[in-house]
Amino acid sequence: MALNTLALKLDKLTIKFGGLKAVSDLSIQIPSGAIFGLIGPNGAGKTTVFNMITGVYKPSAGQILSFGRPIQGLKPYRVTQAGIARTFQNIRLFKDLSVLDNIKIAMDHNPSLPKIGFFSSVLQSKIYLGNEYNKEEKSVEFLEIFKLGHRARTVARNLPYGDQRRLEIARAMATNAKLLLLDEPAAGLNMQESRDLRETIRMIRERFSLTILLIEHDMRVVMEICDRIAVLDYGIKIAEGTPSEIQKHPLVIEAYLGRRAKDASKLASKT
Amino acid sequence: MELSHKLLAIEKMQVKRSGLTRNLPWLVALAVVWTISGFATPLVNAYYFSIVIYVGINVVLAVSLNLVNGFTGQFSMGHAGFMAIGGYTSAFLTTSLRSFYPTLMSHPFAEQGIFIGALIIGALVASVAGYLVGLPSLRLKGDYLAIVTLGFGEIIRVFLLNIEAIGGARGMPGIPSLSSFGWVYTFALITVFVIARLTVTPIGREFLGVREDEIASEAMGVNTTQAKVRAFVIGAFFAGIGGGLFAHFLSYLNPSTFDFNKSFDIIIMVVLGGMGTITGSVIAACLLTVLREGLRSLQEITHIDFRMIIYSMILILMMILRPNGLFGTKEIWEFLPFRNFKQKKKSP
Repeated sequence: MALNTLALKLDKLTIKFGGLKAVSDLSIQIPSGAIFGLIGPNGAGKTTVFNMITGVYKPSAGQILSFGRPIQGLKPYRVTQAGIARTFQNIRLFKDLSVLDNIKIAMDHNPSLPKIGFFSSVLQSKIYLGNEYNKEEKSVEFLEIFKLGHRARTVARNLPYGDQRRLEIARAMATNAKLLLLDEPAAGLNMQESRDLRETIRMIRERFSLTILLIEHDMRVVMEICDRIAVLDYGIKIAEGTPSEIQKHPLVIEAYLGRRAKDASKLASKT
Repeated sequence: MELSHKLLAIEKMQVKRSGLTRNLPWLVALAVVWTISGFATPLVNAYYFSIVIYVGINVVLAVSLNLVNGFTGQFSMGHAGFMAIGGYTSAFLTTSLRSFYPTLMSHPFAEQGIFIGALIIGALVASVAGYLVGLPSLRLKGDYLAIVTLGFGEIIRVFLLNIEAIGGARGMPGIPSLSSFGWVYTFALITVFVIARLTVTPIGREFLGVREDEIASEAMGVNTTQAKVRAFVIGAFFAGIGGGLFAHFLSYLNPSTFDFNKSFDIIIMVVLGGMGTITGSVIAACLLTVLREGLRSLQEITHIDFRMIIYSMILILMMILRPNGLFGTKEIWEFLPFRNFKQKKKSP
């Protein structure tokens, strides 16, 4: 596998908070076009990994390469401009802005669109207006891909929960991302919404030839859509493989699924 | 689906209607200002005239502060400081030019030109100060930022108090009285124009993003530091203009004018009008300026100074009845009952 076909390569990534090693020596390789799952019990360090990739935290050691380019230590907005976008565990939309404006803010930094100067913008020159029109057209296109076109003028806070999740993904995609990091996209969704989400994720991967790294607790989602899964426990990668391999992996069962199942069966036998 | 296509159609129409046509209403407004300035100014009594001028200056100050406080969500309490810098700088330029080159300043056109130049230089100096305050303040949020900017305003005041060249505590008398109705309202229009237009551009959308959610903005590729500094610099620029207009209307400057009470006055206008609404700030600036003077007549009837009591009561009532200010984050036309799609879209 050539280096530049790897959408993301984490090489011995470590971060310490004081004396605590939140993530240690994590190495992951995600080939371009894959859907990669990152799972693990609560507090295992999954979101910390996301925060390191996106530049919110600075890793204590190790390297992060995206399409062959080192990105560790970059500011979050630079990471985004390098083609990595993310969603958040607790939705972070621009709540008081319209759905369309949410997309536009992301689109403003899409490197495929030209930037217009201050005076040209304020005086609303033809170039500026044309550019804004293009942006609007593209934004509406995006919204329709995500089935939010009819909501364009709705204030984001008034959207149903499932739509908010979808809007967050749409907004991340509008930054022209090649690698999408989804932090628990199915959290709080009902069955139908969760099904829609799986469809959406598959659809955008095809459509944008996207690579996705996904944190998720909903095992149905993870097992169904991920090509490969890595399992974290106490900041250490304990297993990596295809969904079926992970389901059978003894360490995973012990650390994550099995222990709970045993407890549950114990409880069940007692009663 | 249908809605979004309708939306695009409107946008397309607006692209065609571009250039001069889009800016024409503003030019007409400018022409109206100068017509009124030419015909009506001598007819109005001096006291009412001064209220009208203060309304204009307060519009400049309130709208520019709203860019920082309302649109970008950075609670700044140092607006009077920027105003002082702009005021003193421009006043110093015009007064010293007048004393060194009296012949130059006696020519009306040269005088007006120098006045505008001095205003802009004052505003630029103020925006440099805005940059300097903006930078260290960026790590701070909410209350902490408010305190730092408050402190900054006081530093400016004390600094001015100790410069002998501009009169120190005695103040600076004899500033040429050049702020005519025409100029004050021209700059009020320019301020409203630039800031209203800015808020719908990508630069302005960054401000809104920072206000709504800084972390999310950064994850969307917004350089939040740059956005905040920009807001501070632009806000300070227009505050400097406001200060210059103020100085050249009153003909006298004193550092104590620019204490934190002045900053509060402007903040009250912004909060009362609604954070993040330009028409709200404009209307609140008019209302409050007129109200403070209007209550004087009440004092004449009752012989008791109720002014500040009533003024404060109105503010308290306002905040109870409409906690988000008069208009919240909406513009006035968003309240019109017959608004259609086009009016709903912000198109200042």
